[in-house]
Amino acid sequence: MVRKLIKYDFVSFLRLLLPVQLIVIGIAGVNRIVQIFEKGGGPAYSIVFVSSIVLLSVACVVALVMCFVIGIVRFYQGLYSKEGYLSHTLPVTAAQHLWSKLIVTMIFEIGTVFTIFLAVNVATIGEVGAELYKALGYLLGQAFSYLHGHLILFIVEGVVMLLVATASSFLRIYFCISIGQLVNRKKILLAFGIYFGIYMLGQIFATILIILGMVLANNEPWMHLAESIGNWVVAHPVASLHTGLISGTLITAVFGLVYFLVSRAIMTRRLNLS
Amino acid sequence: MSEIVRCEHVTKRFGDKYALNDLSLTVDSGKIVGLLGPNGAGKTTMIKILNGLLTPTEGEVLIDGMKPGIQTKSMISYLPDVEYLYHWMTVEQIVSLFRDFYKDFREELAYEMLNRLGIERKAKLKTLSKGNKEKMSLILVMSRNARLYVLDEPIAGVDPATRDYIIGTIINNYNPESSVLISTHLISDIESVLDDVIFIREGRCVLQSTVDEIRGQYGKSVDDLFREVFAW
Repeated sequence: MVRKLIKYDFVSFLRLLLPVQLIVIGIAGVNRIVQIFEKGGGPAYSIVFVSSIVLLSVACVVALVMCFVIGIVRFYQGLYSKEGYLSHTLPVTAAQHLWSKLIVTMIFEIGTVFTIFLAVNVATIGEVGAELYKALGYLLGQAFSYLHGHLILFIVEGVVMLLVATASSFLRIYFCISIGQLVNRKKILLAFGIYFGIYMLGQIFATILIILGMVLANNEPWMHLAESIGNWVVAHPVASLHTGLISGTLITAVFGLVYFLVSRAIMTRRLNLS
Repeated sequence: MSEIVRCEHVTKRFGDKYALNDLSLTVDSGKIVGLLGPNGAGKTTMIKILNGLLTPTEGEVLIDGMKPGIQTKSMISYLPDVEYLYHWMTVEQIVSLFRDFYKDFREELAYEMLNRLGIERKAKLKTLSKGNKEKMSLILVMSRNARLYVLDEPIAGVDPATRDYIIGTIINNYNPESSVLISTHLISDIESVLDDVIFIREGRCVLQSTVDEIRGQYGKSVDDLFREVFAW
């Protein structure tokens, strides 16, 4: 059933995001064409070139923002607006709805990043592109000579962390929207309130943790522990970075799981479709 | 006769307002039942609870012995009182969605009815007229071979000719072994097709009876009795 849901969710995203992504590629193409007139172009060329670079940058940002916004809007519209009357009477579970929405959102997030990568490639085809790849190859080579196999591990861990963090942030928004629909009025306002509440709580918790860590690190018996951790990080920078990335990913995944489970419970047991 | 729906002491509160207040009722299999009451009586709330779109504050709802959930959703064919179809889809896409998710969906029947109305497969739902959107929704719902059809105000706000079309579509396409629960306050239009009626007022069931009993016992039509019971 998730596959079927994904099929229809995919279409609902595609009709909104495909034009934007085509526009980004189109602007990159225009930028590349403008570059043909570089020789003997004079100030007029500079103005047009800089304008097309600015336009491409804005288009890339708009594509990313639109993808993010549509990910949220499609969740709300599909499950908690009038469309929810159909969605919630389909013989599928709340978890299947959540998976479908999340998977499609992630596909389009990755797709948008790929589009931007493609646009940069289109805009830099030729000498500039070759120079860029040469510089990138040099940087990777330098990093590999220092880190060896760890470089590949860092890249994999970094990508996984980015994916988990993106999924978790969408699940947090799903969670807030789901909590918001528990009340009979001002549902969206409550969702915003919950979102900023979580953000504030996170900030307060992090601040308390830092202050507590500083206080404990200067007092027995924690002073020795803090010192040995510090020494270990200095002695094993690569291992400590791996530990940081993996533990960060796991903590983010746990938060995502909690958001998922609460949203599922609300959709299953406390649905309040008005 | 087996029951397809059983509601026991169902209460639904929105804040301090009671939409349903200790409501109990049953719907038998193979019957066309009118859920009748004035605006704000709690008909839509009851129907939403049956479909799992709202959860009752108190009480229990059973569909064929099961609480509303994934199994009951595959048994119930529901027509809400709002435009609920994904407006960005084409006719073809929404039909294929029903075919994909409901095993009991009769695609050929749906297209046959749509063709009769002249609704094109490639047409976008948002481009259809209000009347055609309502007919489209009804066609999709009645094209299922469901155990229970739940129709919320199917004839409200439509012209008399469309009303006849809607009633005809319901009668000609429902499975006679199934039950049909129709909520409405336009009783005279639908009285002739009803087997049983349930009167709801202020969230309570004030009468549950067969149409024949009402005619025999009160010597009145359902419409007349409704006007008497709900007179201001």
